[in-house]
Amino acid sequence: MLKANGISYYIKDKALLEGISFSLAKGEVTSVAGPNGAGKSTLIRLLSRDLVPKTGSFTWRDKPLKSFKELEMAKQRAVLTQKTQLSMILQAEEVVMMGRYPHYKSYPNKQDFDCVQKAMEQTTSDPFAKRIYQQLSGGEQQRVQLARAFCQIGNEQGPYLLLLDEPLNNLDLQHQHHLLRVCRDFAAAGNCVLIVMHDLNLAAQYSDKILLLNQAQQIAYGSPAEVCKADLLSDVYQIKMQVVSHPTGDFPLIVVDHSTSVPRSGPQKKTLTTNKTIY
Amino acid sequence: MLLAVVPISTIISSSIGAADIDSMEILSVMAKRILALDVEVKPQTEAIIWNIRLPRVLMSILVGASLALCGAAMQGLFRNPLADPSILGVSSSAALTTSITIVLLGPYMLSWQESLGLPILPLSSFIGATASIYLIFALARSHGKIQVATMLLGGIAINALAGAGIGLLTYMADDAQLRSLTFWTLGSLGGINWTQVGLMTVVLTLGLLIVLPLAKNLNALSLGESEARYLGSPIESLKLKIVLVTGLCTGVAVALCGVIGFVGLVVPHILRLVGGGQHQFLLPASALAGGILLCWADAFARVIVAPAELPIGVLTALAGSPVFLILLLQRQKTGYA
Repeated sequence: MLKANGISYYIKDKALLEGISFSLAKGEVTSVAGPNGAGKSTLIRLLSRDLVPKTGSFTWRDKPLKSFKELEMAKQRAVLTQKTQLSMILQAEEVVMMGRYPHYKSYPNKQDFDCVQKAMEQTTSDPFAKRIYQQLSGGEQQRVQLARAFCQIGNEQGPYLLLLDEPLNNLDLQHQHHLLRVCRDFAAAGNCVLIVMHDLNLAAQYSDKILLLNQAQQIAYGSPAEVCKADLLSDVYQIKMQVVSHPTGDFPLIVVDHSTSVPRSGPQKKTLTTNKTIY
Repeated sequence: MLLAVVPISTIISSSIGAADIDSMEILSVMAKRILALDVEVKPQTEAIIWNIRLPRVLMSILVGASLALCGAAMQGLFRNPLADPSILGVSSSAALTTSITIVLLGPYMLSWQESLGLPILPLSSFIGATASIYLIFALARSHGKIQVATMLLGGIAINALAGAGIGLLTYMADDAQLRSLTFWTLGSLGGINWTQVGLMTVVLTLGLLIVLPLAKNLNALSLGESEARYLGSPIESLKLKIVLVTGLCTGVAVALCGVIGFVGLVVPHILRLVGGGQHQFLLPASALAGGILLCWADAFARVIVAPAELPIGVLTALAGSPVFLILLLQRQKTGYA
């Protein structure tokens, strides 16, 4: 459904992304992983058309991505960026209703309210629907924003594109897994989901494909088993890792090698405490 | 409910002033003039009401509505409740360009006005207002975010520049020009005629027609520029519309009544506390409440030091500055704003 053909983006001479090619099929969850500064967020911004690729192009539903109008795109694609702020005082459900803005002109109808209700239940944010957004905790705000993204798309004719930039920020373990399961279900309904995330194990457990980036380059792209190779990951993250099989699932489990992990006692601890006093 | 308060305020406020007139007489004059009914009214009373009081009261409502609407729209555009035509220097730049026109182009102005058929003063003040709001917005915006500090400092700079410019012009002006300059910097609703009321009505109607349908998009903008675009809001045209409407409404209001500050700050702030921040509510409610507020503020200004009157701009600044300070304090406490 979504294809990226040789995408590159530069600022002056510095490459932020170079020669990225991948495709998202209907029903697939794709994770984008890589160290800080690898170009993950740049990719999201290119896909959400905040930036225009210097070379290469995207196609969506077999048409060039840039040929879609803003409003048309808003009905097919939702984006959740890392830091979403809200500059006015609103109730959580009013924030979620913003996801319906592309769908109604002046006043929301019953269907719009139903979508809001459904999206808030999906993200378990319905208990605080009436509370003021600014008074919610970081994780609760994140769930409200996710609900907004879910109610923007997925209620009419698909396929839809869902772009999430580190959606797991601030979420506890239970909600991380819950959210990823919701994303899986959403993809299974015939849509495309692209998630930027740092946790390789969650990526391996919940995605069909992983796109691994490092220093603006595409290092690997394929199924979790293909991408999660110990030597490859150790090289990319500059930390020794091992890949073992998951005790209960059929996906790889990535663990950091004990020899490279920070010792818990001895002189290392001292440096840590000194660091703390400096800060 | 606010809608019902407007005509009542008009009538009661018209009865307040140096000459004592009761509300029934006002209704009689209105019935006679508007409905062409045959009602007995003293000619003197009729003259005061029809030629002085009514235009003035209507103007106060129109200007109050315009300024409050501009304030609410600017706060949406800047994603910040501290934005206001007077704080960001939009009003004072309008006053500056108007003053320049009066002092430097004064001798030619009347002949131009006749030959071109254009209201020169409102036009020059519109140009000043639009230029300054565009400048502030361009200054304060970096990478799609509004820098609050830059916004407020930019407002200070523009206010200072306009103040200095008007000061310089005051030095150059002759006696008659001096009087009108003072009028522009202090703000006054005196000496309003029906033509001016007509002009302001057109401007406000235009402003309402353009701004009210933007409510949904202004809500979306509160998430950030990119996020609003993801929701399908036409952000660039929204910015342009708000810059132009604010320039037009503030500009014409300043040209006709001088600088009346803080209405655009105080009114949306109070309404947000009452009815929440959604622009579907905030924009129309601000226009109505702004009109009512200025109508009563002007009635107050007329009687408090009667038979003289207080410049309305002084009154609104006296009441508005504390609200601005409270907002600044809140911002420190909650991080919001």
